[in-house]
Amino acid sequence: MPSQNFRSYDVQRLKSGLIKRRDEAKYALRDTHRHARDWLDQNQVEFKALRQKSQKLLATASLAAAVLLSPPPISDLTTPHEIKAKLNAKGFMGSDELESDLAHDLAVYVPPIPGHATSQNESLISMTIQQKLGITAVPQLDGQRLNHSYGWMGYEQHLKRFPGDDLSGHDEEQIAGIAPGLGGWGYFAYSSADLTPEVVLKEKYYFAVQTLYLPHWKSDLSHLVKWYKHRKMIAINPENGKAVVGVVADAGPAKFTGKQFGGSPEAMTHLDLIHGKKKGKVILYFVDDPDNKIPLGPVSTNYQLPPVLEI
Amino acid sequence: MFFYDHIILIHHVHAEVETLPVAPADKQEMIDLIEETVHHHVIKRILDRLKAEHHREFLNRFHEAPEDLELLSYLKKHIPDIEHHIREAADEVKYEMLKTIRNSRNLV
Repeated sequence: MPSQNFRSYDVQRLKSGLIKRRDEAKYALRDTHRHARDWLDQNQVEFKALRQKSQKLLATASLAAAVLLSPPPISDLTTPHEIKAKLNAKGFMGSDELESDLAHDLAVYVPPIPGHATSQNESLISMTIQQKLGITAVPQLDGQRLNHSYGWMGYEQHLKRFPGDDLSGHDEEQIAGIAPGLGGWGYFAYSSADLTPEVVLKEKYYFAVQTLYLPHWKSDLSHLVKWYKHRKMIAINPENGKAVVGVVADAGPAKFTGKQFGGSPEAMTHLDLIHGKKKGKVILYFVDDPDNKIPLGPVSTNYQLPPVLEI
Repeated sequence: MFFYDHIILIHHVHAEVETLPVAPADKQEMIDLIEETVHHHVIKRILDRLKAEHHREFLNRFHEAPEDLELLSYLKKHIPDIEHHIREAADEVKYEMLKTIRNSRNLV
């Protein structure tokens, strides 16, 4: 049983919820387009087969077979138009709209050169991120502040996640290569057997920050090493509003490079900083997320969703 | 991949699943369910917008080559802003998926 070690979390309840959503979607399609349903039935089109056909491993369920399963209560279905209207009423917007909105709002607050925004603008940047993305992001957390919260971020290589890791195990952006040495905080896991999805995401979305130039780095080394290790941060490209949540996993870059931060290949790709010299200016703030509710990766939604129940 | 995958960008829903304290097999099952749900929504939205006389041709072509980007070109001839509609359909269901997942967190 896959879930036997995770009894504190109600896996079955969540699966039931997801199955309900899937069935609603299937029946919405089936009932709205009956001729398409007939075609699907006749051709026995399976979702899994289509995914395999297109060489993607994910997804399993059968489209044609599944639509014939016991129906959910059709009265529960909400039309897309109704959903959209409700979402708009709650301030929800699509990712493109969210990004352009964020870029527009941040434009007036970012400083002209790498460093920090004014105290007032820092607050306004935090407020904007909170409002648009539902993420509490701050330039200073627990008394810790980097020397820059706005600066140039450069494209880094992959990092070795465990002893023996090589580029072939990294499923995206292999063109970046893999750093010959370790990240500033060493391996992410003891062995490949310890490579959990969380560890994979940490390497996939990591940042390098200049801890080595912090004024108290040497005198408070032990505390600061622990504090910064895998510290969650958010990078935002203020030019396009694209944002990525990642963790601190490397130290650098060196001052002579003229850059203040580094970003993993996947993070830089999402931030769209992969052209020319593969660098660009970003806002890099700490994510205040003590309950670890903000997932690592690209941000394209407002995480401060309305209360759960029904919208 | 499907011809619309680059438009819908559901990575952050996957990431949300990855952070759940459940076994990898359960995560995979959930991701499968999510992808299938998004797929139904996207196909429905396409059929909503495409004239009925073209449905069979579209479905045949999709069945033959689900990853073929030419499908997008084909759809654009009939629905110029099809990418917007696909993205919109995905965004709606993404919200529902995130809500379902987060709802489950709050119930723990």
